[in-house]
Amino acid sequence: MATAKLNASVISEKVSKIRWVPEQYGAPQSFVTGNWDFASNNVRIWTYVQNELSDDEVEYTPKSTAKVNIAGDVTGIQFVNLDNFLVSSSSGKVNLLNINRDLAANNLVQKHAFEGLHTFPGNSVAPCTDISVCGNSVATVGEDGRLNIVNLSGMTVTKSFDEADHCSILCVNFINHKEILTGNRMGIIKIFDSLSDQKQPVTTLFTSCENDKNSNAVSAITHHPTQTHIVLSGCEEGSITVWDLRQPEYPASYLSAHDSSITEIAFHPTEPVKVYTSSEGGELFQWLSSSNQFTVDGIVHQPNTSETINPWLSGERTKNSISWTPLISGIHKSINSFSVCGSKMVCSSDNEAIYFIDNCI
Amino acid sequence: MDKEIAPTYYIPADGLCNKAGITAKWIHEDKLSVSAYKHITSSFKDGPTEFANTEAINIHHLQTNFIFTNPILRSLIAESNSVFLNVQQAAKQPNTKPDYIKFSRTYRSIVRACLKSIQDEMSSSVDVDKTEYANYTTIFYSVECIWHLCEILMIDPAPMNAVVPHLLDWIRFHFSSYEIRATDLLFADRDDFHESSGDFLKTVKGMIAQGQVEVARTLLRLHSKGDNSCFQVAGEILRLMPLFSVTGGLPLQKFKSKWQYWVTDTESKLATGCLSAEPELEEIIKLVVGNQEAWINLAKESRCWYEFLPGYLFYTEPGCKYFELGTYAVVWLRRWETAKGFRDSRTMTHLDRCVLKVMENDMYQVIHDIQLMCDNKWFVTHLTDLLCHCGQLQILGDQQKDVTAALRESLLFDFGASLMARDSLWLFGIDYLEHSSVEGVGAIELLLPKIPVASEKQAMKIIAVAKRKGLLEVEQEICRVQAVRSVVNNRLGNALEWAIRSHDSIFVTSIADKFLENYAKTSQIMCPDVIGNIGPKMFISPRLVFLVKYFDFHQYYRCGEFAQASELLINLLDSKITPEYFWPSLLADAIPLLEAKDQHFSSKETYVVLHHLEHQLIPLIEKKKQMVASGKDTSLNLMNDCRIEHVDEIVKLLRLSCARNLARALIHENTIV
Repeated sequence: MATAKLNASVISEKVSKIRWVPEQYGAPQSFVTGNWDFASNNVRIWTYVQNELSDDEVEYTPKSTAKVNIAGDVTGIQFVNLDNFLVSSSSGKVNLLNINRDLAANNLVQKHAFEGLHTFPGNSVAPCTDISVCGNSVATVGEDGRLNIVNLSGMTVTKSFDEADHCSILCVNFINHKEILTGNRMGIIKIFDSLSDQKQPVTTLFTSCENDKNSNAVSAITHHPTQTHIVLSGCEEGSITVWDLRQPEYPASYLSAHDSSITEIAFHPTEPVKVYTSSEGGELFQWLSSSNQFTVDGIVHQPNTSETINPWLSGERTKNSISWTPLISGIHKSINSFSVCGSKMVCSSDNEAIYFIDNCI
Repeated sequence: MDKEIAPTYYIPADGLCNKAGITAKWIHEDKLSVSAYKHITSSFKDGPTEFANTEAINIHHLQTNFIFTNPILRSLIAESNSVFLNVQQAAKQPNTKPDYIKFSRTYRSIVRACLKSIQDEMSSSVDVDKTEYANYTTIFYSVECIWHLCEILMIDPAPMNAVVPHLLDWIRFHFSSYEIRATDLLFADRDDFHESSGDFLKTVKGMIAQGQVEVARTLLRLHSKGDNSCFQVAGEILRLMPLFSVTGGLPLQKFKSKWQYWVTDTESKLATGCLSAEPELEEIIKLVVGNQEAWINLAKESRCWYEFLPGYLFYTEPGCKYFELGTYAVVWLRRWETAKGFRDSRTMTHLDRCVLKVMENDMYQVIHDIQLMCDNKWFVTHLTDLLCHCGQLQILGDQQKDVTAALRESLLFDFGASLMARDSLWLFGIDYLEHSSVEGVGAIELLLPKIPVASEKQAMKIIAVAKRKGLLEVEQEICRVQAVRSVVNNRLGNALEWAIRSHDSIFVTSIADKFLENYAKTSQIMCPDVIGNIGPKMFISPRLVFLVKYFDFHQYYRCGEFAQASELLINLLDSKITPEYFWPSLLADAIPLLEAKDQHFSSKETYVVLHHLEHQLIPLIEKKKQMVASGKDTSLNLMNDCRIEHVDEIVKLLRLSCARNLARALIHENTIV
């Protein structure tokens, strides 16, 4: 097991979202970032340049090759395919940007801007809070409690749930062509059916909370890449709630993770035994679930090969078979976002630095 | 003290200001508000001045230059903030003495990295303001130089306080040209030597002047005339030179006598003229024995006064302690000025003066001087904080009182406040305020809610920070503001959630009222998803409890679970938390249940309904009618429920249905089956 090397570089921007640019073959070479809280915010594309001067300690420095200005804070970045990605912002707009791989610099172009997706009853602009892509469709949610489904081939809004929520929606996850999950500031997750005509949620899930009297927003939500019925939600209080959408009445499991709001939660795209969470308190954890063995009353049981329960779903046993390791901790400021691809991980923090882990195990 | 020349700034074309004069007031630390002003004294005639109503009055805001808007320098803030927090954290650990040298070095490496980025930027891009960057280089070069000196003298004191070896390191670092040249020579091909140019011996001399005797000797041996007797003699002299070493060497007195013996020996050798064939070499040996004339000659070549001071001390006062350094420095400075032909200290730069003051350990003056650097007090804040933590700083104020802690706090406060005033640097600013005085925490409480919030995400971010610092009031205030915004945007459900977060019971009540009033008007419950999910949080306000319970009643009724609905309705009637305006609606809700085919209310329960009708609604209607009669109120409209035209109608219908249900219930209850 090689130790992970951590490269930190200060870029003088508070990055709210960071994503690897996917490659058809091989490891990712570049990533995109979007920042927040500046008079003029932007989306940048970066590449890591290996520093030749340092010999044994492999050092990388990020170099920005292009930027596009965005009105308002960037709230979400999602790739649609290899070259195109969507950026949502607090100005209520969603922009479609394109990366030109033939150019070395200035390789970012805005292709389309969706406006007026989110508005308050008085017709003033409402911030768009999150986006989630599924195939050729994208779900957008905003502070106006609206859920839009936009088709990217026609660049049109195909469906709009006007009153999806009377509270602001903070996060969205487009699981498959049918189901969309939204999480709001009250700790309620709603499942909408994108195919039916009904404007009401199909199911409503209530996240657990350590203290019922505290408010506990759903701050991040994700699903298992292959077993899409497994959904993890991260909360304001820092806990993770696990759901099995086949039995949505009760949470399948509940884990205390961080002691501050979870900013992002994600499965590793190709090795789903790994889950990553980042928190407002400046922590980045890796969760490892071993499905090979689990213990009951201290005795190790070899599971039946036919029994393939995902450890995230196995209730009480979960706590024994899921272990966590902190990848980053104690950096005083919030880790806002991370992106993992293969063995490479980038993450961004409010201390205006981006961290690169080349070899995250 | 020298008179400082204050920079002058002219108010741009403003006729009135030019004619009448100006007045100014500080808005905060680095913002000044200037406007036209005519000073009036008692001798003036009472009345408007001649300038009144002649021209428009402009108010100008002057702001000091804020260098950290530059992205390269901004990284300095971001990185140093993290080190600063680590220092505070380490200082709080009990029983362990933190490694302050490590922190100091980290700070310096940040500055050096920043300097390097500035250099790279200047050399790589064409469209940059070169003079601006040159300015930054000057500023941060000085910062690094002074910090380094403070580090070796105060944070990392040498054993026995012998400062010379450290000073030599410091000077080698900041005047590295000789050393670079020496390294080149050592690694160069012997054929490439150009000794004749004088460059070679100059480098040797430079090495000697920086106390690098070993390197100088090696260089001498490389010289093509190395076998020459002069070179042999010089090499021998240098070889025999006793070296002062703090650890494991001779006691100072013993060393001094040994040194003196060697000096006398060498001087006698020089007197024989054995080196006169090589005047350059002779000069070098004269330096080594501390010949005043030779050092004065060397001083003439130096670029600034302290360049050869450590070298001079190395050969004359190797055991010099920090408290003696000031005296030696002043002596050397006078000598240097005479050598250079300067009359007084006016030619000294700001950096030169600071270096002298550090050597004299006049920290009061040092702190004063470095505050004047154009780095928006980044340097003075961080250095003072670090020195305070290692207990190396003592500043005496009026009446010889120790004001060090107060000074640190006030510097942290000012620096934090100036960061808070800037775009997007608030996140760093609060850390400094937090670690300053009690006022700092107060300032956070005042400043945090004032950060302009454009989206809820940003609000949540500020709340998260406030929560971490335990600032409950800030959190509540931001929540209140967000709630009001949501009300303006007509998003009552969202507003209710924010209000609950704000823990402001009165505010929650007022929003819950909006829901109930709307229900009375339209029979529609707004935002059912929000109300249905409030859960135990409803206990913040009795009105909210009523709203949630009423919503539950409504749900039971809609689902046809009349038994539960009636029970809940009776509970609500008896709960004593029903708002006045809601009595008609609540009692009207009883009518269909009383009139239902199945009996839902027992006789006792019917009495409850009747009781509340007679004791709550009727007096209310009477009061209202009196008000209308006396002209204080205009109509009874407010008392109405949308389902029934007039409130009297409700009373009539309810009495009737109560009577009917009572009859039914009494018969039912008194029948023995």
